[in-house]
Amino acid sequence: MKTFSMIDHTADIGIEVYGETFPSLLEHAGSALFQIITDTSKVKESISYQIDITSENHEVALRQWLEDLMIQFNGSNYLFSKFKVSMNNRDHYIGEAWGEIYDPERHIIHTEIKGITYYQFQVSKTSDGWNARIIFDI
Amino acid sequence: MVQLKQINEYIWEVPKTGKMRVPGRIYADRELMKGIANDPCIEQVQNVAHLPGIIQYSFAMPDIHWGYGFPIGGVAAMDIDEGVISPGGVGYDINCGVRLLSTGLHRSELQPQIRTLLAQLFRDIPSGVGSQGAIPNLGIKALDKILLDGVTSAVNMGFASKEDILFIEEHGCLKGADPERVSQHAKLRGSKQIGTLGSGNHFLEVDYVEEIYDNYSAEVLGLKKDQIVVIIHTGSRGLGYQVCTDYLKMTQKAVEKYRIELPDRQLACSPIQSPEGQAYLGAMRAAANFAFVNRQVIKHLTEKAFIKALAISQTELKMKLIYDICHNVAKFEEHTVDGKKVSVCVHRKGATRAFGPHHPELPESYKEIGQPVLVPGDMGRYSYLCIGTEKAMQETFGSSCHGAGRMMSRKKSSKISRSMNMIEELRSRGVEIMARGKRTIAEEMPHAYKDVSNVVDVMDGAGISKKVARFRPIGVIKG
Repeated sequence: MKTFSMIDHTADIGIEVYGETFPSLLEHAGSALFQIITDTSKVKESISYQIDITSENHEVALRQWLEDLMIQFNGSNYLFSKFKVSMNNRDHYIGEAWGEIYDPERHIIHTEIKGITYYQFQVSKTSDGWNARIIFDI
Repeated sequence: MVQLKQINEYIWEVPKTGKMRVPGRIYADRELMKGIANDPCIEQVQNVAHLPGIIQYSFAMPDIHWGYGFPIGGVAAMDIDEGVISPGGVGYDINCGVRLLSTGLHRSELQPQIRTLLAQLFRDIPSGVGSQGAIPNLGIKALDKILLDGVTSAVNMGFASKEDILFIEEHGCLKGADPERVSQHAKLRGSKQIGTLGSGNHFLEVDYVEEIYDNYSAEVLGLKKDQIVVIIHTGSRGLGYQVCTDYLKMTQKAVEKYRIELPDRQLACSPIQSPEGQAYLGAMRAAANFAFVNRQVIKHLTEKAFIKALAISQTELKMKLIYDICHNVAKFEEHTVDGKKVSVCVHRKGATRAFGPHHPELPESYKEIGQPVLVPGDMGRYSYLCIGTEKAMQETFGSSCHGAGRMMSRKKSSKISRSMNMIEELRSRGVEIMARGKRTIAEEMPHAYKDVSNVVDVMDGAGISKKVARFRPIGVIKG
C-alpha cells in the first residue's frame, strides 16, 4: 500500500498521506516527514524517542506528532527512520520513533522544514481508512 | 476564474466581492499576468482582503506566487486600532531578508581565485542544518540579549561595528521585542543557529556589478562596474519557525474568541490590541532581531573567509555593508492615507520595504536617493539593486518586490534538472556552486524561477522602485 505521495506546490512541499488506521496514518506521516528531510535508508535505528499525543481531535493530534518530531530534529539533531504509534485510549496515542543523531559524514540533509502550514491542512476518514493533506513550508 | 480589471499598464485590480473588505491590487505587466491570472495565488490575494482592519488594498507585487495564507509577494496594511496581526502574514521565516556587502575588489582580481574563496566560505559558514552555528555555546542570557537588542548586542560581542547598524532596516532592532514571549522550544531551535545559512532558497552569493542604470545613486552607494559584491539571503532560522508555529496555534483559538471570519485557517489572526496580538508582536520582533544578528554574524564570517582565502588585509578588502532589508515581517509604520498621517501595521510577506528619499528612517548618506531595495534573482542569472521612491510611499505603503518568484514546483524543477549536469550547466553560465545537497541545487536551478528582470522592470515602470544596478553571480554557496 502506498503510504504517501507528493503534491505539486509552487513554493513549498505538499504531501498526501494514507493509513489503514489513524495510528498508521501518523506513522506514515512521520516517515514522509523524514524522507523529505533526508535519505532515511541511511538512518540507523539505534535510539528511540517516545511522544505522548493527547488530543481527541485528529488534526491536532497529527500536528502535535509532526511538530514534536521536527523539534527533535532541529533542537537535538535527531533523524528518525522507523515509527510506531499505538492507541492508548480515544484521546491518547503513544508514538515511538527510532533513529540516530545526525552525522554529517553519513547523512545528507535534503531540506529543512520550517513548519506545517494550516493551508488546506486536512485529516479525513475514507472508505479505505484515513488520509491527510499537509503543506510544509520549506 | 476571477475577472481582473486592468487599471493601467502595471496595475490589475481584483474586484471586491463577497466578504472582501477591500479590493486587491496586483502589480504586473501583461506578460507576467499570463502566469499569474490562473494561479491559486489570486485567491490568496482575495483571502487577505477579508482580514479585519485592512486599509486600501490587498496588494501583490509582480513576483507574486502561490504561498499559504498570504500569497508570496503580498502586502497588507492594517489599522492599528481596528486591525489584526497575522502570523501567517509574516510567515515561518520571520525577517527572512537580504544583505548586500560591497568590497574593494575588482572582478579580474577575484575571478582566478573564486573556487578557493568558495571553498573557504563553504567551510566557514555553517548551514546550521544538523550542525553547530558560529557561536556553539550561546547561553540563554546571551540569546535573550540578541532577541531584545538585535545588532547592538552583536556590536558588544565583536560581530558588528557601530557603522553597520546605520545601514540596516530599523537599525537592526525592532523595538518592543519581548524575549519572554519566545517559547523554550523556539530558543532551543535557535540557540545553535546564530551565524547559519539554512537550506532551500537561502544562499550566499559572490557577484560582480555588471550594469549600472543610475550613476548618481550607484556613486552614493559606493558601487562601480565590475566591483565584487556579496549577497546574503537568510532569516531567523529555527527560532523564527518555532515562533510562527507556536503563535499560529495560539491564534487559531483567538480567531474563535474574537469571532473573526476567515476563508483560510492559515490567515489566523488576532486583534493588534488584544493580549494575543501583543504577545505575538513581542515574539515576532524578537525573532526578527535574531535574524538581523544572524545575517550580521554571517557578514563577519564572510569577511574573515575573504581575508583568509585571498590572503589580503581587511583594509585591502574594504568590505562594507550597503544595506540589509527584511522581506517577511509586520511593522508599525507611519504612512499617509487619504491625506492624513496614520500609523499602520504593514505585513510584508515576500515583499520589501521601499521608502522614498528623505524618509527619516534612512541613513543620512542615503537620504537624497531613497532606500536600497535588494532583489535577488535565481542563482544562474542576475540580481538587482533598486531604490525606493515617493510613489511607493503613496501607492504601496512603501513596498516593492523581493525576488524573482518561483514559477515551477520543486518536484518539477528536480525532474527537469535530472537530465542535466547541473554543476556544468551553472559553470557554463560563469557560476561556481557549492552546496551540501544535490537536491537543493536541482530544486533551485534557474529554470524554476521567473526572470527577475521582468519583475524589476514592472516595479521600475510603475515607479515603485527604480533600478540602480545589476549584479551577475560568479560563485554561490547553499546550505
